Amino acid sequence: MNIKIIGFNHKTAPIGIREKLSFPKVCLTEALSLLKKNSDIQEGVILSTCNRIEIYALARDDKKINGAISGFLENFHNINIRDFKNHSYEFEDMDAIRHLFRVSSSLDSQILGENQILGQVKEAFFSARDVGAVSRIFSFLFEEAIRLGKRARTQTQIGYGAVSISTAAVEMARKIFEDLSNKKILIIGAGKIGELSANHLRGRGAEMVLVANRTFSKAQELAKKFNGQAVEFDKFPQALTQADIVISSVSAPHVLVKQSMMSEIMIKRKNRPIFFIDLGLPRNIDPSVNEIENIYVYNLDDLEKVKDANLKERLNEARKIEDLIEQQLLKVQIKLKQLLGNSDLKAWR
Amino acid sequence: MYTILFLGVLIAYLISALSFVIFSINKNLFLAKTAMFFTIFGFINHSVTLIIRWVISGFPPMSNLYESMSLFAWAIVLIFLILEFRFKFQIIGTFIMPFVFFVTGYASLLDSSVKPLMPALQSYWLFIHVITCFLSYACFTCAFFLGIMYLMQERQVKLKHIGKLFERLPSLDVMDKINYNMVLFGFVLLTAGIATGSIWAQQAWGNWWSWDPKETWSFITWLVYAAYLHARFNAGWRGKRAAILSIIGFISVLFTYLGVSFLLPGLHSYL
Repeated sequence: MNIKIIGFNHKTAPIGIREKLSFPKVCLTEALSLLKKNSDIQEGVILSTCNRIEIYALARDDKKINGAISGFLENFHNINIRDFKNHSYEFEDMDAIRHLFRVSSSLDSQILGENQILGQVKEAFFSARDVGAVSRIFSFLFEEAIRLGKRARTQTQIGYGAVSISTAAVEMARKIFEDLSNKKILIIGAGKIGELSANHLRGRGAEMVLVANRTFSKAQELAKKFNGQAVEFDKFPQALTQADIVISSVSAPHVLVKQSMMSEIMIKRKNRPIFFIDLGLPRNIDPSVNEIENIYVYNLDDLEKVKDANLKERLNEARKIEDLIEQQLLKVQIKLKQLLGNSDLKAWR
Repeated sequence: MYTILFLGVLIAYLISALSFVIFSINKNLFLAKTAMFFTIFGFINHSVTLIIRWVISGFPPMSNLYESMSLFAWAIVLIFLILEFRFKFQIIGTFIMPFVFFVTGYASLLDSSVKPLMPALQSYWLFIHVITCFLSYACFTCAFFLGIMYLMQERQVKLKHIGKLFERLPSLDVMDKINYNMVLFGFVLLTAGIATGSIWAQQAWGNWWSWDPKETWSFITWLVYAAYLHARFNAGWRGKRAAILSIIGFISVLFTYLGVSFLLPGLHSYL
């Protein structure tokens, strides 16, 4: 009795290696059939995502399983497995099950707590089941893994808090305004970063976009893309009375927005809150603007700090999940003994 | 029977308060559900105790400090439940339910025996006047806690320091709006409370207004919230300033309710 995983992920294998080993959706059925045909493999699942390729196998014969999996990879991808050995990792038995649980609950993901992996594990299992590559042991284990992944998401906050700069900006905007629909965005500086950030905010419902740029034609171009409105560069202070979220990424030697200017604008705005995302270097918004009531100024470092704080929080939540996994492993071990019957007990030291 | 029921209310509020507080630290949604269950359970029980008292004594349970305290707690839970069903921010309970527990707990220490209603209070105005006043107090209490929550969250957003409660606390915009709504409703109810009190005073004492300390202080409270609304409409005082004003207003409410009764004897001293 032997459960074996041979895998390659973002930590052990660079993208070039992962590319050569991956199983695109179109050839997954074919690969699973090939895996199933192998006489040394009783049950098998292939998990192939952009960050990991893992072969899960239940061995008929303990000693031949490594060779069987290697042989399968060599045959299917037409490679020599020795070139890839340095980039692989292996797990056996309870360690393998623990690894599966850590994967499904996103503890092993590149972005801790990301929400795609659970669906990918599900899909990998269903594909294998459709081909008939899994039977009762792997069905049991993968169903457990999927259930555990769900529990991790509902019982902990592993998926909470923005963990990238752009999502951190959106998160802060939502903590200030709640609903971003009918909020106006002003982009100062029609560069690539401004456009990307505005896209993110629009994804959350923000509607009107104003664009100010030194070269007016570029402002018009970008405004057209967003169905927005171009503003002449000298007139961006007027736009500040209307806008709720300002994304600024101008390369200028001096600050564009000063405290005195904003104090006046806030009176015109009747103190409606305004959120500045300052992506310029040197900074476009005088940091002291943040001192004015109802104005919030975030620069790149601030967003980085938000991201780190959230990441730290996720690490705390991850510890809770590790505990969940250990508890579940004990139960799984007992259940597996029943499933396997007495003859196989010895293998489970 | 009544005492056991009231103890049940107190225990339900305690469990609710504790679950809400632990929930804010541990973030397990199951705790929030437990807390809500006990809040609703406590509230139903609480309503039953009020009705029992009304039936036994034959007049609304609003005649002494014990009864008014119990009513105060009940009104706060009522407003909290309305907010909760409307907005579903369990975190409000983390702030409000401990307060409710202390108010109920304090009530439970007071003399709860049913005494005959003093002649001055024997009027249908008692119910109308007191219920409007206490519903307005409850709205102001919720506004107060939302003001505190607003200041906590505003600080985190302003200083860019993402603390423990950041995730759970609602957005600034929503808290500001609820704070405003609570003050507005509270103000309307307080105005109604003062008006009904005045009409009642005219009928009972022959005077619309006699500058008794309770009257004076409720007028001061009314002025504070009138200032809040005025500053909000005309000077754009929102967010932090509004939050601070709602906190000042609540201190005035507390003084109107308790300070006056204990410190400044007058026509309302039985409450």
